[in-house]
Amino acid sequence: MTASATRRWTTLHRWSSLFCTLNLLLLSVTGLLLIFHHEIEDMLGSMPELHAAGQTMHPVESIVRKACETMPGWHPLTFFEDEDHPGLVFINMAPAGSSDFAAGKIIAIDGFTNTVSKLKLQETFSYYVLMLHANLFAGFFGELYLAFVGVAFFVALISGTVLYAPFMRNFLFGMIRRDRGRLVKQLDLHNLIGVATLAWCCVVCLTGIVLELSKPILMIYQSQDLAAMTAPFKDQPAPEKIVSLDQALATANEAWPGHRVLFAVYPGTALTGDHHFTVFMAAGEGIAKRVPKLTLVDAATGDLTVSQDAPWYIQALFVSGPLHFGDYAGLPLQIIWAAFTLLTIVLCVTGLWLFILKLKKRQETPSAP
Amino acid sequence: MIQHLRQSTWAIPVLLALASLAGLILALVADGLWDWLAWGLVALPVGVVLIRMLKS
Repeated sequence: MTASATRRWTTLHRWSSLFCTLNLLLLSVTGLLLIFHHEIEDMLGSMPELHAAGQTMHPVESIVRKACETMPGWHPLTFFEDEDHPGLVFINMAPAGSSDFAAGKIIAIDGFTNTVSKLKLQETFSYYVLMLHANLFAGFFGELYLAFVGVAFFVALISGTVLYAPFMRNFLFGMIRRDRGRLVKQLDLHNLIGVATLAWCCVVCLTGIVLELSKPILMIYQSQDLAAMTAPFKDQPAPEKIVSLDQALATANEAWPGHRVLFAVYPGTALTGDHHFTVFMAAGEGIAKRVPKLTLVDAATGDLTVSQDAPWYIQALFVSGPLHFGDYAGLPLQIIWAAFTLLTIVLCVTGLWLFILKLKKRQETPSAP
Repeated sequence: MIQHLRQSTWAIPVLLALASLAGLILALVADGLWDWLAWGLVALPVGVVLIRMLKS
């Protein structure tokens, strides 16, 4: 690499890193908490105890009715059962006239007793940490800003990798020179950690960007694939009476035997159109557990309209979740994720320190080129 | 062998990147015993960093 090319990459690395460092420190600390959010919630006692032994679930329609009775005037948008606490049902309720998921209130119901749980999902510690991590409490603009931070992080990773080669040309991998002053030691540590964690950082960075862009991705789904699938219904009025959720889920179960309901979305929302329930179904194991199947059920008749794989970009959105949060292969993977996150913090701190040390050095020798 | 690999600029970084990617995907698509292999592969870069930090 020529000297001027190295200089250009160095400039790119410096400014992209400086822009994202403080953001990354916040994301790392909140991310570290989110990796263990199940354990933290259990420790705080936020999750209600369910008396599941020997009991059967109430019909889902009666559970939804319970939610509607508890919040008069509100209507359900989504329905899902907690994977880790079977029997615990979450229903996102929206006020009359609204179908905005973000404005909804999530009500938790014990499906075995059909009683409203005291759990307020949107008031738990994990929820606040998640909001800080995902949008800085700034809604969609926060998401776009953090997506941009992700892009800057990716540029920093790539430019850092490009610069790794000229630095390391004459050295052994992983050397840390402790006897050549602070700057050299920090530089060696920064190089080692940066290159060793490169693949993990790229995966978490790119999946993070995809997750931050979930709203635009769902808008594409709404205007393209969903519009095409529901085209025959386009000119019909919205059904006055819709079938029960039990019937919709039964149709979905029939279409995908051996799958479990991941979540169901009611008609009248951006994700379904006016005439259908959308039910996402997941298989029990393997990659199909992560990439759900798509089912559209006619809300007026309960008949199946569409059952197919979700479009590739929706699949990418679903797969990005576990790959970003590291909660998909047991506690050992969570611990490894935490270790990588700690190394990312060291990477940020050593990088920032290098910048400050170099700045100081330059001030001490102003005539140097 | 390791000394030889360490002399090359990219040999160990590429191996570590491939190991972490293979582990991440393996953990995603397979269950049971495969998880152990996945954990080992993903943990490899962390282990290497810790060993280098302790040794030098």
